[in-house]
Amino acid sequence: MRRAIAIMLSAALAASPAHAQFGLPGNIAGKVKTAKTVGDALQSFPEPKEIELGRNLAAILLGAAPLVADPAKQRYVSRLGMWLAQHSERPNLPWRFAIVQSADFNAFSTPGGIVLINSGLFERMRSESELAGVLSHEIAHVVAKHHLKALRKQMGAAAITNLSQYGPSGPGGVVGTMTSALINSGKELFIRGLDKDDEYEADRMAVVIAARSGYSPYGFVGALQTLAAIPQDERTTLIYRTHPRPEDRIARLDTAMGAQLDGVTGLVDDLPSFVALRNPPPPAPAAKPAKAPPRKGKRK
Amino acid sequence: MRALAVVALIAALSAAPALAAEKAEIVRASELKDRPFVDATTVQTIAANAPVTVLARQGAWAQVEAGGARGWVRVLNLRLEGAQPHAGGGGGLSSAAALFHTGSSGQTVTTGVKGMGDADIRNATPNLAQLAQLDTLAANPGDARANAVRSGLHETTLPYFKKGKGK
Repeated sequence: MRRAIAIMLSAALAASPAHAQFGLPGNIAGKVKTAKTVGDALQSFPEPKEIELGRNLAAILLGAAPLVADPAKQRYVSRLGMWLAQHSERPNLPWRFAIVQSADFNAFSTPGGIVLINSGLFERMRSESELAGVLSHEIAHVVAKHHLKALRKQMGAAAITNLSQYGPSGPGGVVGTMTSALINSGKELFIRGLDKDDEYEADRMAVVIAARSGYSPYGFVGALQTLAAIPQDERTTLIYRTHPRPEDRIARLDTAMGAQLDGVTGLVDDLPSFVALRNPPPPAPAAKPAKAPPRKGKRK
Repeated sequence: MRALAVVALIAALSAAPALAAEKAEIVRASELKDRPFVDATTVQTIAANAPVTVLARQGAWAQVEAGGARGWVRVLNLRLEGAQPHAGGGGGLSSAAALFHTGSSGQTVTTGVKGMGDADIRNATPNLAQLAQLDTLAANPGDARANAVRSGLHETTLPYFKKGKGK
């Protein structure tokens, strides 16, 4: 039965132009259980296959940048990410969150719930709410299946359907069936990025997921402000190619969010758990000690 | 023992230096408030593109020093030194200033670790050992919740925003 639906969907996809997300017949859309976007056939990509695909794509990233060997930091990021993911629409995915060794200000996610953030991003976070915002942005990509959409656009509808028909996983849940074509598509995905509108959507979702979880949504704004202030050179090439300009993201977020979340009480900017791990410790403030600003982490 | 650790952490937090002051500009004419609230007293109005020093951030608000006065402006009204203005905005730090930017928000903390560029990704071989290692780091949702509760995080139910509407 599932296979029959997949074939129907594949036929419908093949007949529709790459951008037409809304043109599927109602009887097919009706079978899509969790579709946020009516008619988005990718919603029917079998979840186990999505997870498997994401694990393979993550293995590529880990081949380029290994995990940071700092158990305390990894445990912290993993737990924070899991807490945030519990406030998304897909809490039960096998979520993984970790820091990889790369100096750039960037973060990645893959289908099925793997989120990898660069050490260079982690070290530039001012507070836990900033990190929560960045992790939530990546969670949003997974929840909205933005990678599958981009892969479909890149590889074509037929290829993505083939992906969903891959054989069972090998030992240890690791797939041995990943073709070189898929590896190359995954690499292209990381190099070319997702749809720019999907980046904006992930930004809008990120601040909400962070706020649902108890963090100030303005943490994410702070992270984008940091990115905007980093001089553009070869180290920012990738994030600038794969994302809209941070200034534009802030402006769009400002328009979408406004002060809508300002009335939410009890949100925090920072917590001792992050301060304890922040490395290197921030330099002393230039402000006069007598008039030191209030410490972070105060409730609003 | 745990209580002790918490006390130690809180002490460390209180003693921790605030984040370094950052140079920024005001994106649009803004009211400088004496407290971080929308209905707080306005100390003065800051003109668009005026330079400020950011001292602290608290929710929607940033504490700044501007022209000798100190107060709070909305975080969204700030643009950090080195950032370019949004296409729809005015002014901005001069390109020369941006070119010679040496501020603290840049690349000061990652010495010794290289970045991940196109070539690194293209040349990467899938690393399944690292993937297995990643699995060992997985957090348990129950632990995550217990930790969040201990930290005093408040959950709330909120819908996503409609695209482009908010003001």
